[in-house]
Amino acid sequence: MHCTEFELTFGDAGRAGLPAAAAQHLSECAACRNLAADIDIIRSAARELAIEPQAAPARVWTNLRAQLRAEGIIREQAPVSSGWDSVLAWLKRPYVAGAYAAMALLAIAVTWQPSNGIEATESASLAGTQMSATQRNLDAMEKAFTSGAAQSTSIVDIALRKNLSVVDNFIAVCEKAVKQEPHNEIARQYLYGAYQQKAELLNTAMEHSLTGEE
Amino acid sequence: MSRLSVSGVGTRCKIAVSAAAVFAAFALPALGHTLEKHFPVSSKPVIVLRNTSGRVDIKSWAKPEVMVVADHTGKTDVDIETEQAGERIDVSTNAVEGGKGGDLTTNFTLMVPEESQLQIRTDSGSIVVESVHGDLTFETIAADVNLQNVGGYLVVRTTDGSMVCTRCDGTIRAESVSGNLQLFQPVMDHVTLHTTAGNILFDGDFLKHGVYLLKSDTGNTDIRFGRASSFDLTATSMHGTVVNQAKLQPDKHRKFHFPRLSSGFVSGSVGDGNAKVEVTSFSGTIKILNR
Repeated sequence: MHCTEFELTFGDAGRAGLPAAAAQHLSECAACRNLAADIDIIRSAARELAIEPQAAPARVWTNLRAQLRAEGIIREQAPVSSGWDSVLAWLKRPYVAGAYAAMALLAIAVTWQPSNGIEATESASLAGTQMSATQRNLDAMEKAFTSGAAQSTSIVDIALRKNLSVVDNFIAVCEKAVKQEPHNEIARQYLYGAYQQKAELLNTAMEHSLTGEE
Repeated sequence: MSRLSVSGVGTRCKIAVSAAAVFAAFALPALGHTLEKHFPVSSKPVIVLRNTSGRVDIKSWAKPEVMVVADHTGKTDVDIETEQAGERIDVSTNAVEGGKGGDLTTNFTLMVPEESQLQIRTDSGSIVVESVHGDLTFETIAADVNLQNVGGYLVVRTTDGSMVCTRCDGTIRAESVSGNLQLFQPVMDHVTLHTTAGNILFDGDFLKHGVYLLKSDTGNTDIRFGRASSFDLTATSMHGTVVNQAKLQPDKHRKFHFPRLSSGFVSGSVGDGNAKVEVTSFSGTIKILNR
């Protein structure tokens, strides 16, 4: 079984209903184990919000999709369906899937519009948890890039390192703002946008490392 | 696909032939070499260029033909591949085996019909395009993008490179991490600009019923609008300031009017408020100025 096939199978069946071939692939593939762990986190967090994944309002998916499209995270031409299939359709690259999965949940937390104070607190708490998860995934991606390009003196690698630093600084500023005002939705949206930009930048960096000058 | 691949300057040749769906394909090593190719087209061609490093100049002409001139100046061998499949023309540079990591600089000059679709990528160098109309996409890491008299649906993505668009028309979506994004005399009804650390300059008129979304997270945004402009404005800088010279009236299209809460927020209408202008920033300064 290939990773893409596993992603779809895992999204539909979950751990409990995993076919033998998928279970074997899971035991052999580290990238898919990471992906499965991230999806488990998403499902767990969704349960804490007392929502079923399929029951997420259409506006959440619409907002998420629009946001990711606007930021250039997703570019495929096929229309995106609702629910978990939509999320899984974006996770074509196991290497970056963890970061995107964490960002997906963060996006839900950011775009969710709670109807009362208790849910608002839960939403802010969830966003805080997911920020840490997203940052961890992005840090792992960044390490993979910097370990290969740290010594490079090419114009492009210097530019990539400089811009990673720019985005990291902006993320730090946004995180500080969110910690000071956890319920400030605008601050959270800026932070989410900064995470998206870092993921996109790291994706660009990894593509360049495969094809470009060093 | 039919493909001729030549590795090493005349030292050895490898020919691989597969499907015949492609009319022409060429790949040859370049080391201080110039390649010129002509591709006849009948209608709006789609030109896809993938370059690693170098200057890309694209201009339009009246001929139903695409001309590609590649000038490899780098010190490392590259394969320059060109391929035509109907109205689509692909051009790409790739390091030859063992050449990755060297200087792959290749400068391109393209002449294309005025109505063409372009998908251009170069990691470093520059992109200069004049008088082309169509769906135009430009992606760079460190290369600047300079567009003049172009139109259609424009998409620009850069990491470090800046974009200058002069007398452009249609729709534009431009995004950068630290590059500046500048529009001069635009005739555009949908403008979406976002840069994290770069500055934004919009110098021109807002079109009736146009939508303009300008966002610089930490950089500054300057808007110089003409006398003919009529727009609803919302300018918000979360931790920065908004400097406004426009004579704003209460927004005619909002049910509720928000008071000016701080130096980082301005809202109101100029004229009849025909266009919608939203300028946002996290910590940058926003200036709304008369031309």
